[in-house]
Amino acid sequence: MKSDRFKYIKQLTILVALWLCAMPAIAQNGTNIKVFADKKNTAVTYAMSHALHDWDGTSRDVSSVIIFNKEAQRISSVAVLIKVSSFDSKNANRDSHMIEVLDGIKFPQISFGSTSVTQEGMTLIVAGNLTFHGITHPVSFRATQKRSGNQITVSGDFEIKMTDYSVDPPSLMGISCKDWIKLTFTAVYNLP
Amino acid sequence: MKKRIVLVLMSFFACISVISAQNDTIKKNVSQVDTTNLLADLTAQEDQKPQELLPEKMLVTQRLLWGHKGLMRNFNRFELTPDERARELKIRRTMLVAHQVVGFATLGCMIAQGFVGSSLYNGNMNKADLHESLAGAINIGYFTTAGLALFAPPKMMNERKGYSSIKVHKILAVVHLTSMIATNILAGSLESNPKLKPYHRAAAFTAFGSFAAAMIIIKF
Repeated sequence: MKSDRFKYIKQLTILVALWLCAMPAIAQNGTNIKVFADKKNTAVTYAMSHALHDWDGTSRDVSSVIIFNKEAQRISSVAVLIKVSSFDSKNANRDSHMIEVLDGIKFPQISFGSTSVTQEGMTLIVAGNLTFHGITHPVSFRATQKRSGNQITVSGDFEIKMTDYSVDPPSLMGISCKDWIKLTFTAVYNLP
Repeated sequence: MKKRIVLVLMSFFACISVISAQNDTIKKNVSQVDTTNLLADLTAQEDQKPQELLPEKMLVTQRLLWGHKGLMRNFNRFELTPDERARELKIRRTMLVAHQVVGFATLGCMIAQGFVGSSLYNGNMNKADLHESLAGAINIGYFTTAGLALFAPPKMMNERKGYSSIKVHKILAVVHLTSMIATNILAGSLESNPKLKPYHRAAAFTAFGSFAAAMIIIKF
């Protein structure tokens, strides 16, 4: 009877020991921190093309936040929010036209939320949902991240089609712009 | 005894694999949930001030019609609300497209008038009627083009800093509007004072040159 109890205690001790060994691996999930982008150094630029000319517009009023895993030293999630009216193409008529084309009064914001962020060296493969003109579509792109002390700079670009988001390409002199918009971004995050 | 140890170990690894699988699922879900929460955080941080519907600065003609207390604001259909302002922007677009089309037609008439006017200037008086008809068409086209821009609902924001093609377009508009008025005044005085012909011609060519340049500059 005593030896049976001893065996049980022994087995229980082994199990607890094994559990304790496994705890660090299980607990790794709890080191995520939220880091907001440094707005002064963060920008998103769109580039468009028309038969008469090409142009771009930049927003320096970009709100972005990442979830950074301190243990793994990697970004696990990212979200971005930009006001349509914050894009400046150095031409107020054109910017106003863009607000009109994008129904910027009804849908004042463009947002992106990641669904997965995979790191390959210094390259991030980001997949997520882009909401633009009130329509959400999945997008994926590659971004480059640079680490300098506690600062992470993420930059990259990707293209979207306006018609995918039910936006009629704007026209000038009766000629429509090309359907593609190239979005280029640079975001700086200062880790605490 | 050995069997028991194997059983204990197997149950442990089974537990670990279940936890690990759960963890993966949690990780994926965390990413999804986080993003939604993150966007909510960003939205909360954003300036909650409602979007300005009118620019601070606009043309006098636009302010008269479309300003906060403009004439059009007396009609229910043109109240200054986000929905109505969105509709106003569509009206603005239609007017500006018409501005471009009528402007092109006017430029065509101006080119034709250049040939007819030069022929008349050199003494070929049998084209006087055609010159007058073309002048009428140009005046109608020109002032319609100007009106479509001057009375269109205003854009959404103030002018940007620095030079842009649209700013040069507007500066050239002042030049060709002045030249057009001068051309018409001088045309009316030609019968009583034929010596004014060269000035009429110079004013007309200035109007044409600056009008054409205002169109070309949009390319840049």
